[in-house]
Amino acid sequence: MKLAKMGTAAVALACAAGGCGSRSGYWNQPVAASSYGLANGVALVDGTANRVVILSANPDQTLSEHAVTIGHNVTTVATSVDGYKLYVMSSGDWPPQSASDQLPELTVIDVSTRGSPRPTTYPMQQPLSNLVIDPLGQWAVAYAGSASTSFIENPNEIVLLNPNLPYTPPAPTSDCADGGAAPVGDGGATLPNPVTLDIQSFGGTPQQLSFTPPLFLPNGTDANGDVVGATTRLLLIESTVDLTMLDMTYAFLPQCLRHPEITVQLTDGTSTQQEVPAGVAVDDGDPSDPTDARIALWTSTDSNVFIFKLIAASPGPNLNLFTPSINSAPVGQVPSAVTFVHTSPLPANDYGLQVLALVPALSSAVFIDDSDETTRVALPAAYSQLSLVTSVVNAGSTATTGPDVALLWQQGTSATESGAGVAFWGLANTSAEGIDVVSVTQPIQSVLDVGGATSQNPQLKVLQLVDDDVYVLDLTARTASPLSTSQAPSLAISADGTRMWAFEQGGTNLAEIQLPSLSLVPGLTTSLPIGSVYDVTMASADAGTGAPSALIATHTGGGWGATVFSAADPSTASARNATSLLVEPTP
Amino acid sequence: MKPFFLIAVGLAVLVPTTAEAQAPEPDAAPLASWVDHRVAMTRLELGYRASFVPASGFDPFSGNDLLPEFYLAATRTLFVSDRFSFAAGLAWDNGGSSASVREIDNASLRLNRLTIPLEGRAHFGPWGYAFVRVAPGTAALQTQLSDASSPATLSKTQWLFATDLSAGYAWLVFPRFDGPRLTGRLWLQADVGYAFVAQEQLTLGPDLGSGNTQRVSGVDLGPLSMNGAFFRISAAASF
Repeated sequence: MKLAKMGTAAVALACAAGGCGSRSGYWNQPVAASSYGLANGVALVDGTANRVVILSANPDQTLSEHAVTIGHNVTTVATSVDGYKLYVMSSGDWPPQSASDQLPELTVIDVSTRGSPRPTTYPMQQPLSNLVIDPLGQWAVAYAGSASTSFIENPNEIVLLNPNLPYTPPAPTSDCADGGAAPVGDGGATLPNPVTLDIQSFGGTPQQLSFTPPLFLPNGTDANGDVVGATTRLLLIESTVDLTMLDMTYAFLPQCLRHPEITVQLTDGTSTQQEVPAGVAVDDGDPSDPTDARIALWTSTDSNVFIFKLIAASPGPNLNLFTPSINSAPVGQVPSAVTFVHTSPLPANDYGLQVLALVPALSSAVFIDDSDETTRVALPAAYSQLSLVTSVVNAGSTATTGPDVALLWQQGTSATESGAGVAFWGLANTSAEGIDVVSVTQPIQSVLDVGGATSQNPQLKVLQLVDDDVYVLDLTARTASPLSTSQAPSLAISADGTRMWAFEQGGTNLAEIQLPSLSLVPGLTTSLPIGSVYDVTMASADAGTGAPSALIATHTGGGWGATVFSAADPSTASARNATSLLVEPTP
Repeated sequence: MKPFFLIAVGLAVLVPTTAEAQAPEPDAAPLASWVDHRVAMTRLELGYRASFVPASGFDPFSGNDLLPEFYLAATRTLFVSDRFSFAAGLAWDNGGSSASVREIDNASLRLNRLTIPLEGRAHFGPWGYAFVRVAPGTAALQTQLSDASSPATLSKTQWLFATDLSAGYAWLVFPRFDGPRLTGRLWLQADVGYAFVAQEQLTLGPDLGSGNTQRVSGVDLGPLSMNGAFFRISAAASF
């Protein structure tokens, strides 16, 4: 045995001398993963192994796996609204200690290409921890926010990115050397992507960022001196003391051509009051009028709603051709939800556009009209959330505009609260006359939309109550159908809105609820505890209504597994289990 | 079939029929019936083998690329010419390795090599002999992965073509002299070499029971080639 040990030691020494004798670090990394649903698969972000494993389902319930390398130390993961892009932001090996250390980066993985995810990597100058994805898919913006990752950093620095274009580093020399005369963009010099901008600050730090929908804004005057408009989009940056607007049309241009951001302070500058932004609402107003777009901002610390009207700017050196006019309207208490609504025509605004703010502390709603006059309406309950359902309720109507219909509900957290149900509110008049309440037994925990943009059943919403019961609300029939559950179900709804899956997180029970019939396919089980479920189109299918789909239920134990069911004909017998998904090494 | 064939061939060469008969007579006439049993002999070897497997496919099963093996062999001299001889036999190497995989699973590997060592020897009287060896044969590769995401242990067993090439030296410990005397002798020997094993794709499947109708896909750990250098030390007895 002594001889054997000496032999082993000799081999080990020889190996050490030859630089051999260790294994890939991958095998020593623990599994610390998270899953994200995509339109046509599931992404397992395996951060410790610096990779994303994209799972896509095949017609025989097998899974195809594609691994994509990502940066070190993942900070944020997000998916695009359409589910075809995965954004993975990483801080790299920060602070870098050697030339081989990795710098921060954002990896965008495009899964719209069947079978072969296409990653694009965008290096960044400093690690950032917050990421906002444009719902229309044009841009993304990264910012530091309140979570600091560096010894010192500039919280007003943001990184703007066009995920549809490849990485393009900034030109070594300024494009402004000729005064900006050289063409840029289409047909001209290639614009940098991403761009890093330092947002002006009046002492605040960015808290929330959002992209507006297209707005028809002032863009100069014609020969008659009339304001002409142009469609553009803005990036809104809410800070603790101000709101900043950045015209995205010019955001990627060189400094000399870029329109500067517009910052409006929320206070008069005489106080040190800090606000906690709660949200913004945006409305373009009359699509043909370039001077009536507006933004409403509310905070969780102020009883005023701030309204910004985007009007034509006075001629001058300012490159921006619009300017915000700010007003604040008191609503009595801190509002919980704010949106723009259309009521019957108003004296000052025949378009009937008003701001509607819910003030649950006063069990009321407040309308703010075009002249910032407020009208308080007492509500039958302290509704805290609202959603406009006009397009569904008025489906089939020939009218293009008209009074909105809002769905109100009170978000509760415990069964000890009273259930106020949901209320349909016809907003023809600024009164409580048009309220129609549909009762449910308990306070509502959450309201889920049924399907995405291509939903076949947009008239349905799913209400999850605090006692774990589920109601399916039909907006057109104004009915609420209960689904009783014995355990707290988690829900997943297919993109086409024809199926809902209920499962017990950490359990093995699964059920399909067909929509809108509410027919149940019960008795589905998995052999291992379920982490999440995702209704996805199959790898070989085109997106859209009727695309063959599968349900992928993930199992987070061990090296992660998944059970794949046919979405069209689910059964436990035909389901297939895939094992050790995060054990397989990247080829 | 391969292992049984190898066993049959090995046993055939070990049948004591040829060595003495085919051993050429020494030059001197008085020694016409003289047989040096330090050259023409039957040997039993028992030892330890350490293989270095650098292939990345071995990584799940080992943290240091080392595969320790137990070694057992029997050989018989088939042909003697002057200071040189040729021997053949049957050898069995058995070893395994296991390691933690990503801190969640345990992967294990066992390798059984069954080979026919064909050995050319150059003898140095009481000092023993140097040898070169080629050992074609087969290897049974058994791999196993225990993972909580699988309803059953994932495993795979595959017979593969295998060959060892090595060179070494056998040192006669006792008794070193009196070659013609037919008696037991003790040897210590060591050899170094290179092992070839056919590459295998490690697609492990679940060991579901016969009545289990679950449809379960396995795991693909990639290709594995157990090729690599090795070092072997052993003790041998000859007679």
